[in-house]
Amino acid sequence: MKDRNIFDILGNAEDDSMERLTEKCPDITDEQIEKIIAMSEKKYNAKKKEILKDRTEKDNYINMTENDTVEGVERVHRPVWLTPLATAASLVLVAGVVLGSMAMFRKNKTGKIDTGVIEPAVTATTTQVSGTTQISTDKNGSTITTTVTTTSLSKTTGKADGTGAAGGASGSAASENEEIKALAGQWKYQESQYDFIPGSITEKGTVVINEDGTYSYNGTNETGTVKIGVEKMGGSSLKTVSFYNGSSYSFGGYYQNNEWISIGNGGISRLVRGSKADTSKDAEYISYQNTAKSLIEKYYDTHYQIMFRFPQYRNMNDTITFNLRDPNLEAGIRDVTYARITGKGLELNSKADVENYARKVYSDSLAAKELEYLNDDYVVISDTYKNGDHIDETGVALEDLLAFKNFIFYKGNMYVNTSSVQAGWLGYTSANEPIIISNVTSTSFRAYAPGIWGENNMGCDIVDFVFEPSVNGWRINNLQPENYSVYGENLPGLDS
Amino acid sequence: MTSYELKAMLERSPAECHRALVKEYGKYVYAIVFNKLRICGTKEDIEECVSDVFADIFFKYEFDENCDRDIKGYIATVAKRSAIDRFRSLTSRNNHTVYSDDDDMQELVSDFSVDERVDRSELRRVLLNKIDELGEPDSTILIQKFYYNRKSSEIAKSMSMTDASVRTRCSRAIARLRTKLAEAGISR
Repeated sequence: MKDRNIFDILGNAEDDSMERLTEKCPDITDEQIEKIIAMSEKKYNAKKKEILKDRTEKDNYINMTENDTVEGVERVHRPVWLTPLATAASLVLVAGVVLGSMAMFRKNKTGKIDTGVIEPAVTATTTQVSGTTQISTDKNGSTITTTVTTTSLSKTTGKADGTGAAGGASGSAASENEEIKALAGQWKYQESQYDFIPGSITEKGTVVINEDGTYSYNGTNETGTVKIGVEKMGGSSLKTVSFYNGSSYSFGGYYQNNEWISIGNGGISRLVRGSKADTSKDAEYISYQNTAKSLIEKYYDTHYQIMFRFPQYRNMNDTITFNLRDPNLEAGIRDVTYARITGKGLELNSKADVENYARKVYSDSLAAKELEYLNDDYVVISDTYKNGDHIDETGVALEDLLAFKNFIFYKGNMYVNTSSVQAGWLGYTSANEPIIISNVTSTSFRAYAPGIWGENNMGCDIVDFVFEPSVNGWRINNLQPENYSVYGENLPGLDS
Repeated sequence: MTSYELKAMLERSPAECHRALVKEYGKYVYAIVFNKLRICGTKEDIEECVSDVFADIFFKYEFDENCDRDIKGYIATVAKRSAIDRFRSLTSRNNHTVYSDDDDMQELVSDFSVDERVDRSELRRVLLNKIDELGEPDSTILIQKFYYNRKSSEIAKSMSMTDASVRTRCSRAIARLRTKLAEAGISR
């Protein structure tokens, strides 16, 4: 059998099994019933409205009385002007589709932003220098050469089709020049799937924007021209910044502020500088993430409700077997094999070891609540028994029988019941999504940690940590498993 | 509730009839939808699907003249089909690969052999039998805890027990179940 929650087998049940599962289904709360009724009514009314509208439209054309017979041929008058009109409409439609498709293909170029404004394809600035040189002699008889230089700027703007006007700078071009000058400097090109949380950022390189409107990007070793544009969207205007490598569009996006240009439409890439590019606090954030991850993993090891993750540390080369009472069997007894917990660097030999391990994870207040349950599953077996011995459990209550315990202590070592299938029921923190850290103070912080339970069940644990001065370290004070949607709701947002 | 009672109630007051249907069959529909979507859907997906089922049923009973059908069987069929549709849309959206052995989902698991399907169906019955053998309240605690993914505190509240008692019973019941399954040859 695969390592998985055996209860997953109950999914896709056939009718008889489904009946049995329905009997044990938790009752639906009044709140849930009201919610379902409201949602169902809304959907039902929308569907009904649609159907009735359809029926009414059809009924308006029919006027019949009972026992009427329908016969004959329906005459349809088709106006003579309809054909040329339909032909013209078809042509307009075809032209629209063709032009629309072209526009869409242009838009779908990677990261391309439609500025809605025809941009000049080439902007050249010419500097003309003229001067006069004067030579004179000072009072000491030395020769002094003075050069007076006059500089003038002229701008030539050309369109992509080769047309364009040459001569003096226009007002808008001057304004664009100013805007580009404001962007001049070094920018970091970053990518992140998770709102640029530290630990999720990939640095793609550096983009240098020059005051003359050129740029260089060392991520792809390209150079080119920067263009500023405007995109109209829903009544508001967005400033766009486009980077052209030669005449072809390379990348671009929306100007957000003087330290942030988003690249493309998805918010996955961006150019940043200044405080936005400051990574000096990332190391601290990542250290909180690492602390959280390490403690949450240990919490999964020890958490009572998933019956401990210790079985995965068992050493099957170091086992002990006892013949134990089992009232579930006809024979009334069976051999139960236990394996020592010595794998993966974890060696536990006493209850104190288990408690100490747990206390590396739990705060004192959480330990007070949780550790009482740790004791339920442990039994100490006397050293007088030898491997293979039968242990007489006459009169022992059902729930205290050794065969039903997960762990035993024997001759100073801790063993786990190898009948356990629990190693396949584990939860673990997700490898992809970075943990979100929030509410950091000197004595506490909160983590939103995406996790996987069983095979595919994604969730998000809300974990509160406190600083325990007695051990001079962080501990989990509370862990609340929630739906995965909680993770998305707590992402910091792109402008954070 | 028979189909004719339902129809009469519908004529009297559609809203009252809808409410009665949800109260009577809400848990049943929820259980069927949950069974199909528990691996790939969120709680919201499941509730959304349950409301789709009821909207469909309201509509059918109002506009379909042929109402002399077995209500429970009909609801089960609508629930199952809606859940399978939702399953397909969720798994294609999430690109999940999910265990599935339902007759209606064979195309989703092309490499699933018939023998394995038979074994799985049998395994399901054995597991439910062994859980039932644990007796109440343990069998319900285990199903609610590990199949319906309910928190111990929620189970405790619905069964008038303390959290600690649910946890302890759960731990012991799972140990007993493990033994029973091992004896039946079901283990890792």
